[in-house]
Amino acid sequence: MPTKQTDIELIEQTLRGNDNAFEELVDQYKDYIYTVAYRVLGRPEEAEEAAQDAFIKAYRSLQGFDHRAKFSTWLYRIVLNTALSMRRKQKFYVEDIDDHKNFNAYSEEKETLKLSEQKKYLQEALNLLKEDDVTVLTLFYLKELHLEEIAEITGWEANGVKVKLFRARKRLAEKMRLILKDEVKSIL
Amino acid sequence: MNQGADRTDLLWKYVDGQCTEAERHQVEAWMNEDAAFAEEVQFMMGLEKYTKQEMTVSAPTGFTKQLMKQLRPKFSWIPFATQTISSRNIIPWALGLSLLVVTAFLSASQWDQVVQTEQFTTVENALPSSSWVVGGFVCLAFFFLLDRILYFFHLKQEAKDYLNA
Repeated sequence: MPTKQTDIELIEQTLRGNDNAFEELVDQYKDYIYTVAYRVLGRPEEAEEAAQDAFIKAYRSLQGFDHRAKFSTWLYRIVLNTALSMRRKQKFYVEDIDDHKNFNAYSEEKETLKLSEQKKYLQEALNLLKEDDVTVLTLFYLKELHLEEIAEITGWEANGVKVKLFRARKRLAEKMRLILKDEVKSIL
Repeated sequence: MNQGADRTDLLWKYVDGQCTEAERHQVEAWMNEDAAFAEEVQFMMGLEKYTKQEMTVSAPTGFTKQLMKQLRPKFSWIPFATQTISSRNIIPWALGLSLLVVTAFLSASQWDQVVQTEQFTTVENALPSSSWVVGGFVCLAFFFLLDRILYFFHLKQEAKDYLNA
């Protein structure tokens, strides 16, 4: 696990022009950053683009990073904003369960979901949820972030996060039931 | 609060492992009485475990390499953009300029002496005036230095714009 001290040291070295230090930061956080982008966007190609963009933005704004803050929180905020703005542009998400079949057809046809079956079901359910639900669920389950940290990343009130999380978990359970149907026992 | 809401609240607390001993017994009692409720609890617990396990997705192979390929050329820009003009980095420029001026003046006086010797007297009129030659050299050197200085500020601004965009 990266420590705060290590992150700050790496940031300072990056600011002195040491590219290896930034490479180490990327290696440490790439999976988490990619996951946030992937869960929000639902497609690997766009998730990769969003994650790369987020790291580039982070690099360009590194001088303005407040060392008292947590680097990971700052980075999550960048990737979340990047992915959400891409998601709004693409208007890809499916709001209604009636469109579920279309989504399945799309994903199978394009073969974009290169995940294991297990991960694929979760992504299918997330694609059926609204933006706020996906955001709060991703951040909550990714590294089991505290509600305060999720509030800091999203800019929501901590109490609002609690309510949103409660509702999002309920909705996720509903969607998973619909998607899995008879497979519930074998998957869960 | 009705019993349904109580059940839902306790179900979530049970799934999160936040029930008191009494609440846990209550949930387990409901599970024994009601098969549908028991199935619901099992489903929620399974889903919770599943979501935690499956949430993280690995970044594609070569992700870091590809990103660093884009970023590496810009790396020298960070210290460059943040560099300020201080007495330390202006000294070499000032010394260079002074050396150029002194060399120009010395060369001018030396050239005048050479041209005035007998050896060159016969061709003196054919040679351009020494002050023109030296003047031209100084002008070239001056414009070269000016170009380098302007280029330095241009790069610095470009680096700042990139980093602050």
